[in-house]
Amino acid sequence: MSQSINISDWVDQYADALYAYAISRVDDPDQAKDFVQDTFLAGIKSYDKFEGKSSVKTWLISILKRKIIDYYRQREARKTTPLSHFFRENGRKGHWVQDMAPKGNFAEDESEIENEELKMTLQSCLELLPGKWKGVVFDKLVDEKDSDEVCKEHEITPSNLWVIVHRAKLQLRECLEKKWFNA
Amino acid sequence: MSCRKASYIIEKRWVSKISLWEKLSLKFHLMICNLCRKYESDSKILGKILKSLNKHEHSSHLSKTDKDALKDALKISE
Repeated sequence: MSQSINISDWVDQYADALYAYAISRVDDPDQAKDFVQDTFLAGIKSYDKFEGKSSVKTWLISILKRKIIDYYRQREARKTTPLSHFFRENGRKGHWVQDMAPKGNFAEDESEIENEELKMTLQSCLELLPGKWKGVVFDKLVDEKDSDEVCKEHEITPSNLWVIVHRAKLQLRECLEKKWFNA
Repeated sequence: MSCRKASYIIEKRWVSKISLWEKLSLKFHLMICNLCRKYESDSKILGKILKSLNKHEHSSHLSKTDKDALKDALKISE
């Protein structure tokens, strides 16, 4: 533990920069704050290994970057529902798995589209998607950006985009049906 | 056509052009598949709700309260 760190000074000098970086990538204030705290903790612990080749701020941002990458890597693996969850792989191959068959009852609540609670429920379903999908879904399906633009921004091909939209909508539809329409 | 493929083309159609072949085979599938008709209906409403969400704009700064809490947390763990 290095004695030369003044924690208050560090927070005053670097917390905003770290937070701004984190919030631009996770879109969740609480999660972003956790990242900032974890980054400071890691920085304090390994400060004696800091060689001063870059500024402290650049060094802390590089720690933060690694934390965000790890966080998304773990989430991606956990949050992708395989297609076999929705569609049969034997017998009537490619047909809806019985329990997953859409009930088609969303239309009954069409008048409630502006319902704030419904929106919050969908928002919570969106949070369950892998980070990369979430960004694509926001840009294409919420903000309705041009497809070429979305592909360029997220460095994906048009067929990647269709696959992500398909998989994300399958998961969102199931989530919303469970949490809202069947609740 | 399988339901898996049909649901894929349904989603592709909302965001992109589809070929004449895709259009016709989807149309035929929907004629005979009640579940995919339901999927298409749900998907359309889901699309509308998604569009009605406004992306939250977060402040890119921490408040003084946040910073003080952070300082305390870091000092305790030191």
